[in-house]
Amino acid sequence: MREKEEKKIHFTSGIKLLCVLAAGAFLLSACGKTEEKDTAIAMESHEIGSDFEYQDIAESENGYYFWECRCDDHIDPRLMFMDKESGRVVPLCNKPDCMHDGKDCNAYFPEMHSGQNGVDKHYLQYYDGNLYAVGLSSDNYAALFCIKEDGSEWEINAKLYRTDYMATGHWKSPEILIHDGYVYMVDVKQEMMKLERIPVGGGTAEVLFEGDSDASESMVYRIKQYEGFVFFQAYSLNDENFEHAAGGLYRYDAPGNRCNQIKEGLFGPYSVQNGFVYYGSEEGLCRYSIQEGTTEILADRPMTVPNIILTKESIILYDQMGDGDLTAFDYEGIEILNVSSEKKLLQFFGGNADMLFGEGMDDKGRSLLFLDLNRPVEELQWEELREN
Amino acid sequence: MSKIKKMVLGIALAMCVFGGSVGTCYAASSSIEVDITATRAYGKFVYMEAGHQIKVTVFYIEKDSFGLTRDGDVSDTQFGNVTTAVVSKSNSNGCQYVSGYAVGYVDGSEMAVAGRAYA
Repeated sequence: MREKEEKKIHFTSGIKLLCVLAAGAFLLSACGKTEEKDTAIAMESHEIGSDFEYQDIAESENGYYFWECRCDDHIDPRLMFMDKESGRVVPLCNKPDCMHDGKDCNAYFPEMHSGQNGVDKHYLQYYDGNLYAVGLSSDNYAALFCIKEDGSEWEINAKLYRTDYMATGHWKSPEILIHDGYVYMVDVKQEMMKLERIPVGGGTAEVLFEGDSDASESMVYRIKQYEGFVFFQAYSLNDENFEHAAGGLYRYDAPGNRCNQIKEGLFGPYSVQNGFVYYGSEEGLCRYSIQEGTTEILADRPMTVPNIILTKESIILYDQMGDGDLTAFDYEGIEILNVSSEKKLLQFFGGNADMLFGEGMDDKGRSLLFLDLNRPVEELQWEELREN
Repeated sequence: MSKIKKMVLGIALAMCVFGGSVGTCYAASSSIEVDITATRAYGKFVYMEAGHQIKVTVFYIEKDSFGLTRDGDVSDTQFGNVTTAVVSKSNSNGCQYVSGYAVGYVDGSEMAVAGRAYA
């Protein structure tokens, strides 16, 4: 923190009044500009049209941000940027002559250790012109870290909840979504999870949803935002049998400050567009109307909880419990693409009409992968996402 | 300390152990193994000196029947004259193990790590 320099300046009362009026006019004008800028950014974000089940890739207008995969070559992963236009992948550092291989590089962020601020190198979200990550604060709180878009500065933006990391050494990354000025979050170490939110920048946590208090376990997961609403899934168990789970897909209605169940029993991956929920099930590819409460089967092909994302023209499914095939349907339920790959993903993150992302593995260990959907169909394959 | 950091530290320690270095790195010989299949996570740690607390933990990643990827761990701890700790956990309810690795501890200190295995 820079210390403010104190200056003794003497004004006449008339000049003081003039200054106050001028400052007021300037502030009013500045506030107006900020609001305009915020609205523009919000619209850009909305228009990007990406759909991520796992928020490990952050998308801005110009590119994608991600943490390197932790492997033998990179014990301390760097923050990377992939330029949409050129496809170039570089460490997020604009220091002149930096070799990007030491802790002085801007792309390096502190690891999590007791008593220090440190970043968990998984979750990443682009929001309102900044990047956000989660990690541990020096006083043992799960914290939200705000990182400047060029990686040059970072700070703790909000403390989310107290952890037991100091005592146990165990860390589980919280489930997080930043939306409309709030951090929606779940402490996934709790047996009885609940959905809470706090304002971006910090404040008091507000509980939005809690599972059945009689249950032995409650889980809240897959928090996503579609069409201005926050959606999430939750289930409660009274025994260890998943077949007895109660819950489904919910939507948080901010003006009414309540959570409504949208589809009972929907526990697998989902996506939402134009008031319809899309998901794969034993019945096939399904489209559920939130308004009507009716389900239409678009493709009569049994599926086991496939990952699903929606683009403007297609429904993309990844067979995560099977062979790892990627299939795209149009909105009439006609198959338009199928990509079989020798590489099966550990996790399919999601993406958009141009680019899909996931995490794979080979003999060397884990690696981040991307699939460029703009390539000719016969050339479609998962490629390693690394510095080039 | 992150799991990977633990693993690196464990590898360093294991190198000392297996390398038979003298001095402060010396320890009784040990072995560790891990096997991850879709339905079972298995880890075994043997420390050839009785009279210690020995523990094996398998850290794993699984997909549950709702298609959600999550991590977990399972451990076995032994005391006294026993020199082997074994842990095996079956997955049910449609869950599948995806990957995992095992860490062996002696008297609370990491002593050996078995490399990542994939189902």
